[in-house]
Amino acid sequence: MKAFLKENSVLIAGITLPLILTAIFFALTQMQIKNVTPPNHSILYATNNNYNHYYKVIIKDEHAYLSIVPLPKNSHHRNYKLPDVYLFDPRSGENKQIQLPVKEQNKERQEILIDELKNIKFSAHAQSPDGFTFTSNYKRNSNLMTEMFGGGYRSRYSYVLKKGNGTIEVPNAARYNTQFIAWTL
Amino acid sequence: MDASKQDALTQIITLAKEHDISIDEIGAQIVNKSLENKDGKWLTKLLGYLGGAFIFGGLGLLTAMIWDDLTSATRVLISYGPGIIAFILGIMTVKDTRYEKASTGLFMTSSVLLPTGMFVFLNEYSDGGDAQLAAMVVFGILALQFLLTFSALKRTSLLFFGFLFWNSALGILMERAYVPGELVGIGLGLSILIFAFNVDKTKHRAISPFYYFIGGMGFLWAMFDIIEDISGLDILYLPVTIFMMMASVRVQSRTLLLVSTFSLLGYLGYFTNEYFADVTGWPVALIILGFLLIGISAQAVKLGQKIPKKA
Repeated sequence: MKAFLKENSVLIAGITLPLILTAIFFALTQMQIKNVTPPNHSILYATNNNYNHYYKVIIKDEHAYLSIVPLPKNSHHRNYKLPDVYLFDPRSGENKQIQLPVKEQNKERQEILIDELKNIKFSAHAQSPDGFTFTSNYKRNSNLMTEMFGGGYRSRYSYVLKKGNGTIEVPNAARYNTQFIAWTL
Repeated sequence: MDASKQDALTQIITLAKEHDISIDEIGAQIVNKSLENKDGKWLTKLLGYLGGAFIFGGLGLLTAMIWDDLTSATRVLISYGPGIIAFILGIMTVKDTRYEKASTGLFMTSSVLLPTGMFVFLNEYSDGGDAQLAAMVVFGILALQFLLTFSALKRTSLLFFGFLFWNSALGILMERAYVPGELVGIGLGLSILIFAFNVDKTKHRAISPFYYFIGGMGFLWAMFDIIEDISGLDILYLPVTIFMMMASVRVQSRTLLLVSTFSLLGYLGYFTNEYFADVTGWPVALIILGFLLIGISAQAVKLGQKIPKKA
């Protein structure tokens, strides 16, 4: 065994190099997650909301409303689907989908208070009161090896709550289809 | 049977016993000789390949047409089944000298059908929704399957596909462990280069140019990504490519020399465009680049001559 290891030391070093890198970065990521104290505020965000000019969740007087804006007849935007809205509590990890009021299409502009959120106060400010921001962790660092052997960038197509170097991943937040709405107060 | 034929057969048996030759080896020689003597051998081969392609194309098309009517189990069976049969046939042909050459084709077929079948299985029976994890498991299992079979049979094609699957599983593992893309490129690139260097010294050297190409490209691409981002220090890429050219002579790989030369030429294009295009005018920069290209290609040819041709 010793002779085999000695004879093939270069090959073994080459094969184990990527494994060592993996172990180092996995350990670093775990340490980073453990070292972050989660924000004291939950976050309200929407997914499946691309090109949605009809329904929007807005914050008015510190409360969340579903805004319905009738589109002009010649508008080419035709996304009439309700977005999926989530309230994510980073302390418990609970990610609760919010039921939005379903209304018939109407010619008039409407703003309906979201019943499930009526007792919670919100701030639409991008930064939470304790300094976290909702941001994409996508980094454009693809190359031949990642394209050939990377398997599709699961980890880079997501949103995180970020403060300094610490990040907390937001569940169900697809890269191209997620919008920040507000922090709870 | 006349007496002379009987004598010849007795002689063959005596010789076979004397030199420890099996009946299969005699059969293989007779088949190979008869093929060599055939006129229009290339036509037979071409028609054989075409026939094979038609059969596979037809089977694929038929499967696609009836796919929606198939149950989950049948879908798995129709995709994974031929893959595992091709793999088993590949192992059987390795052991029979008459059909030894067919093993590479069979292993190649199974390397496409086995992952397809496994992905179909996961798609039909698993609802995890994490495609990347599924890919890592599939490629990991296939890497083990091919490399373990290689350790027993020592077939080059098994090593080729086994290492390809290994890198596919490893690349996803690195991605999931949040290793930055540049370091994935450098780590995997170096690993593949070292593998190619070691394989080049064995009887499996036929696959080393492919891995020198992939490893060299991957490593140099990732190095450029890192160096490009460090303002003013992108000149450091020059010694990296020159080092790779020198290394290609040391490891005697024309493929690596080609990759590193093109990488150097590409870098010079980037560098002149970045720093000289607006200084004395683009045409002058192009002339300088032209002289550099001629100089480097001449040097590359000289280096290439130092590398002996391999059998």
